Amino acid sequence: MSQDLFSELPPLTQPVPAGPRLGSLAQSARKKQLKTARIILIIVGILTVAGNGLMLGNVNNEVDRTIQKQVDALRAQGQQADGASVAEFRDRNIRYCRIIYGSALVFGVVFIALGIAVYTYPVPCTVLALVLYVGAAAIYGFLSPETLKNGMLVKIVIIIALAKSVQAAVAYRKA
Amino acid sequence: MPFEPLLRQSDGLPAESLSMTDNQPATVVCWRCGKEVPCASSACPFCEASLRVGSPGANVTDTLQDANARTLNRMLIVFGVLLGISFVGGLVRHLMAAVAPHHCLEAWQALAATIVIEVADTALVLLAWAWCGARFPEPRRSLVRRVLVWMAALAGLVGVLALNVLYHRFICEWLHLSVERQYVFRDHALTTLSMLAICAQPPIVEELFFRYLMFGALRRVMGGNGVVWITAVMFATAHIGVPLSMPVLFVLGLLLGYARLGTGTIWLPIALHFLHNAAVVALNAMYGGLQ
Repeated sequence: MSQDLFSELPPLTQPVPAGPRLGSLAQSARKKQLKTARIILIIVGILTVAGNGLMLGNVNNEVDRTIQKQVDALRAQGQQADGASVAEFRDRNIRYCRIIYGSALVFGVVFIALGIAVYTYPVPCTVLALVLYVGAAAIYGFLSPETLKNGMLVKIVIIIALAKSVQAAVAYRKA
Repeated sequence: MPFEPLLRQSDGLPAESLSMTDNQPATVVCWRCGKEVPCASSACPFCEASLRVGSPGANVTDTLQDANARTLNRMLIVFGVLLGISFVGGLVRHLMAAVAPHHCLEAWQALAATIVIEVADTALVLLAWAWCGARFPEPRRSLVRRVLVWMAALAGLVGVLALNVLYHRFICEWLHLSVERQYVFRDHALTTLSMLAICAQPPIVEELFFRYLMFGALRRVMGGNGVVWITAVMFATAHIGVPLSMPVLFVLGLLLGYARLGTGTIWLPIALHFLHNAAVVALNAMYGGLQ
């Protein structure tokens, strides 16, 4: 009898098959949050790259339009713009715009990279994404305060989602 | 390994008090009544003993994880507020300059604005220190290692200063910016106060926040290199008032972060930050054009 019983037991040298993971529900919820963070980062990154890439390509026309408006306003007042000053102003503003749009484009590329790497390095990627997103919003808001108002609600939603993903990443890393 | 222990020993907690399935704790044993309760419970359903952080028998793995996440959360909130103060301070300065004659602030006006922002920053960081309620001890490094790190860091500081000078020269020329001497030495009566506001306060307060509180909070959840790079990004971003100088500030942040990591204390980062700011003020006074 006892011999039969022992013969039914699996040999001790073989690994015991894993049972259902009780923590898998929480872990899948964290993974879902990370997936949300990944989607947000990639979408924000693509939009940033596309938008700023277009602006970067169109920077000369944009500056020329702005200058033309100011020159027209001066003409309407019966004044004449100094050609050398206008040329220097144009040159400087084109360079400023290139720095602003170029750095925003780099931010976009970094967001995409963070989105891709978020499963491999969950905590660093989510923390860096949150810091960069808030920091970029503050820097561009400082340079041009009217941009702060644009899409304020969307920005708040993205910040909350990224903050939640930081929490999920900390738990995901530990589990 | 065929004989993996079914129960994992957590820090300081007897293995018998934890019941584990795979790598997730399913239940914990109540420290007061000894009955098994679900690990997600904040209190024992039988005797109502608290199972939160700090309670005698709380699940150490979970509570440490919660405490780390909470500390990080708090530090990120403080960083957001710090960013907000820098933002508002920068805007106020710009508005003051916009209404000032020749769009240039008087020395005392600029100094007053700086001091107000610094008082707010200092109060916030001290509050954060109290709110965080945690200490972040690093393992003590050997004397030889500390001496080597100090020497390497000082050499690194010379490199960062050289980079700072070259970068700002290039930016000023490229953007046709006029190079002006900094205001601090224009009025000798304000010099001492200016030096204190620029060279003494930022090294102490910024290093306390970025290289102690934030560094410690992040160090608990990620590796050393990651922490150094992220705190360097934060350090650069916090200087909203000088956006063109952020690349150099990021490099300085890396140097200060590795100095913190190498020595395990914030004394070297404070000393380096002080020397950096003092050198920048002196170079500005002599040649101008640095931030």
